[in-house]
Amino acid sequence: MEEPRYTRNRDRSSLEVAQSNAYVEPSDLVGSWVNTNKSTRGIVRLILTEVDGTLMIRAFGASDPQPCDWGEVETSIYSIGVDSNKAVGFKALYDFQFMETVLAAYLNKRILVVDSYNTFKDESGRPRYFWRDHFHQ
Amino acid sequence: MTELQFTRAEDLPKTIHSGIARVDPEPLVGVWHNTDKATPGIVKLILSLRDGAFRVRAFGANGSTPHDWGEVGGVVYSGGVDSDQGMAFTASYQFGFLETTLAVYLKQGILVLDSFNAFDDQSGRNDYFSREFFYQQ
Repeated sequence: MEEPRYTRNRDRSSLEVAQSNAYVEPSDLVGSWVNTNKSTRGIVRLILTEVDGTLMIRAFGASDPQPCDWGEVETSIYSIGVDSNKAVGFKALYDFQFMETVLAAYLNKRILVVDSYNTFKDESGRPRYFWRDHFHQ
Repeated sequence: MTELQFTRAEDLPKTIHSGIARVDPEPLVGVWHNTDKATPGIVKLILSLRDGAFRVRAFGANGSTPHDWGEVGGVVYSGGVDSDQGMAFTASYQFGFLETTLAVYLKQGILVLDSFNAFDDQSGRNDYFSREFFYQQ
């Protein structure tokens, strides 16, 4: 059998017998998450649900008088290592037409850390920007 | 004048501009070393500018000879819509059997790197997330 390829030592499995199918289980991420900062100018709330093994995200941006509902999109989920099945991170992409937001998130001691990488496409003179929010359940 | 579209309060600048905004990548440029000498992940990053384009070259842990991943383009982000100073970037490596997305930001002189790794080789390895820290010499 061909040896699995790798790009760094972390890609190597320590299992004597390889899993037949890769599977990352999202349950630790599922639920409603609220920003630890009540006056954030970023994302105020996240709803993460599992649908047929796929983790879906619905985000709400800070806006008065009502948060801005970004709608629901699929995520891709990641474990803490090649031999772990528990999801600890996810990525998601929101395309708002006038801008695009990539969310890159991970779970740290039950705090969900969400980084957003934001690119404007509307020639409004606004630069790409990075923003970080923290959430609790 | 048309009102700016936004998804959250942080999208709205204090000063209105127009056109395409540029983010200066200079604060990120240089050679960055992992703070953990025994990392199984990425040992070194070379961030450079070529013809105005931001370039990323990463080296994966692999015994005494790090695995050179080669150079790819990166997208640079500022710290907010009113800043033009680069403080974060994203980059993607397509290895054929594995796709690695780097989502990276600068904090108090330390580069914090999150990698999101998705296998495409039926090896049974799970997609995984990792976080590493880099300093500049």
